[in-house]
Amino acid sequence: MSQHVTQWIQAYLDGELHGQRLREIEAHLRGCADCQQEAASLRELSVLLQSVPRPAPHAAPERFAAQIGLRLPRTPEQSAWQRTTRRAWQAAPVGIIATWAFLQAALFTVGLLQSLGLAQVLAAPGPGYSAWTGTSGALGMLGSSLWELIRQGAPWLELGEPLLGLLGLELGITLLAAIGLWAWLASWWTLRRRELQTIEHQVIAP
Amino acid sequence: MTNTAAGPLPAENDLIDAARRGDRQAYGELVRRHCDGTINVVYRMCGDPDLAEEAAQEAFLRAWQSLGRYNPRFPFRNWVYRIAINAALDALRRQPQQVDLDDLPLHASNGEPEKVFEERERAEQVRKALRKLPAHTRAVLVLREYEDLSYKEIAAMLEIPIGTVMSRLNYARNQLRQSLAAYVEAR
Repeated sequence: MSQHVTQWIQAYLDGELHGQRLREIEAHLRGCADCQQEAASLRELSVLLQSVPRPAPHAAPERFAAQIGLRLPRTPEQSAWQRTTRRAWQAAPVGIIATWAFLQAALFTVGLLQSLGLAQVLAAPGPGYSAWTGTSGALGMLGSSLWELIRQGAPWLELGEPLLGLLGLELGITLLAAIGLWAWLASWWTLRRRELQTIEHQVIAP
Repeated sequence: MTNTAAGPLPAENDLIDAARRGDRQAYGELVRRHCDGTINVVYRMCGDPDLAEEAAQEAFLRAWQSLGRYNPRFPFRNWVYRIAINAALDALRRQPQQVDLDDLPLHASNGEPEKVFEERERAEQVRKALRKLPAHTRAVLVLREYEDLSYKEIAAMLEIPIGTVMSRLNYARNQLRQSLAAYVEAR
């Protein structure tokens, strides 16, 4: 290699070259006085930079960490995903209760309409038509569709009277909602306990 | 992190997980492990020991607040260094440099007066030459020369291509050789 390798000398001195390139540069440096001088000059610069000592810390690491500890906000900032998850978790009990209430209302209305005769209530608007019949009709339709879906998935519900099946379904939904709420309360209690332990430990720790 | 009183030192990833959950003691341990290097990086960036310590504290406060955004695939140290470099640049923008030469650290403070003077003068010239470099070029040089980071680590930390790391280093060293010609050739 006759051409100078100036552009590779810094990478060579920084230990960033490997394989064939490294061997080429080493071979060139052995026979080229100019490149040897360039390398020597760069080494001198590095030694000069290193000769300026690092600052003696004003505070020992323990003290430095303690000073920062005093200035830290209570909790680190959370990522967008963490914030969303936390909000969803906080809203979970409201969601469970709202879903439970909606399903109960829909199933109650379907039961009521079944006992009154669904077709009669949902007849075209006439003199007896009101906002109540419209709303309850829509809710009843929704509940009825839901009931149909569930009945296809769980035909055993129809073993007894349809109304008893509805009652069982309502009880089942209530039970599921109660389990959901209980699980949420249990996780809340566990998290709260862990937080308290952390705070207690931080207060006690020197 | 509730069990750091005795036994082997906790793994860094465990400390980071605990700190993310709000454990200040775990974060304190992380600070203790990395404060020395962080102060050094900031000092080399701004050349002022007082400013360096202040900016390093600021960097650790920012790091605590941004822990949710920390990517564990990269070393925690490099992530803190990156924040520290930004904190150093902010500190320099806020406070123009006025360093008392007596504040500069020395190797041979108990030596002969002439030697002490020479060393102090050399340190001041190096500091001035570093300060003349563009901030982003200086950051690359500091991470390479004083923290011994590889080109790949610097590139990942500053989110720049390796080619840019090489060109900035090349520029910085050539500039420094010109600024410090008397010292480089006299040694």
